[in-house]
Amino acid sequence: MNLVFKALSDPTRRRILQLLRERPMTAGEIAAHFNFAKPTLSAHFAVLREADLVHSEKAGTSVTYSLKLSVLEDALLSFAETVGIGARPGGKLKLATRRSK
Amino acid sequence: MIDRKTGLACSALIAPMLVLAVWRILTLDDWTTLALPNGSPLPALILLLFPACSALVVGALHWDSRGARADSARIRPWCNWAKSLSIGYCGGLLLLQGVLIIRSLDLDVALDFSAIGRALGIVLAILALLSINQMPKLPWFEPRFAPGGDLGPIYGPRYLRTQSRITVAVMLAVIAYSLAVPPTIAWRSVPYILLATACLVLWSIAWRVHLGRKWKLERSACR
Repeated sequence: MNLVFKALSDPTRRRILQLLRERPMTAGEIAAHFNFAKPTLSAHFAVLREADLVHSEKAGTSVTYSLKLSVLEDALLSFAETVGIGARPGGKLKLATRRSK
Repeated sequence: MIDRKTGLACSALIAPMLVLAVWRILTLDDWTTLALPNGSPLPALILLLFPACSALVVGALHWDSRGARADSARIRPWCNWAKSLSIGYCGGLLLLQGVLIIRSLDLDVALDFSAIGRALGIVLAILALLSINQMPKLPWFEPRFAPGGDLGPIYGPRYLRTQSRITVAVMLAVIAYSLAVPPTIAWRSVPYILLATACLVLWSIAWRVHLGRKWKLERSACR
């Protein structure tokens, strides 16, 4: 549960989950919605995968992500989105991207 | 979604339920009424509701797996999920029915069977709630004989998510109601709960058909 809270505390990861609510998307399609570098998004995907909130399927060179939320996790996502937990997008990950740049 | 072994285990739980219900109805003075000490009388046919509900759930789970290959990696998580749900549900209902029958026999035992029955009912509801909560985490599996036909990779998971969300909301309402009302009145709510379940099933079928049509139209538009 700790991993789920950690994953849902970041607005970028919540935005990724919101996008996946519409339909399964490839990593490239998701990246098109953000101005982040690819390693930053990969780190976000890794956190979501670790919390078991997304399912990834590799087809050729692209990875397709689909939502894997239980009803409770879905409710937590809506709650975190309404309250606006973690207002600064990125947090530590943003710092890591700046360093890598 | 249930394999042969699980089906047999569930049948082994449903058979005593049916035998017990028939035996109790036949031994009643008035076979239409089940008199409970310190409680309002119930229609005796309520005893047959337990095996009927179990058979319905197990049958629905079995029906869903028809036409799917048991060794398929996609169906395996569903099999494990359905196994725990069906055995837990049948076992829980058998215990609940047993408590109701023992209570109706008016044995001289210093146990509050009314409270035991209520606690069992709530535990059973919580178990079902946890199972339904995990449902959207399972990979989307298209049953071969489902109303509405193919829902596709977009509408399928969406249907599953919404359906589980509504079922969880209904179950939470039922649990809250069971905790709030006195045990003597709680039994009277059974017909209303059954009615709500039937409405939920009808809505689910209608929505599935609607999404199936939508997916079919989108697919034909793409071609």
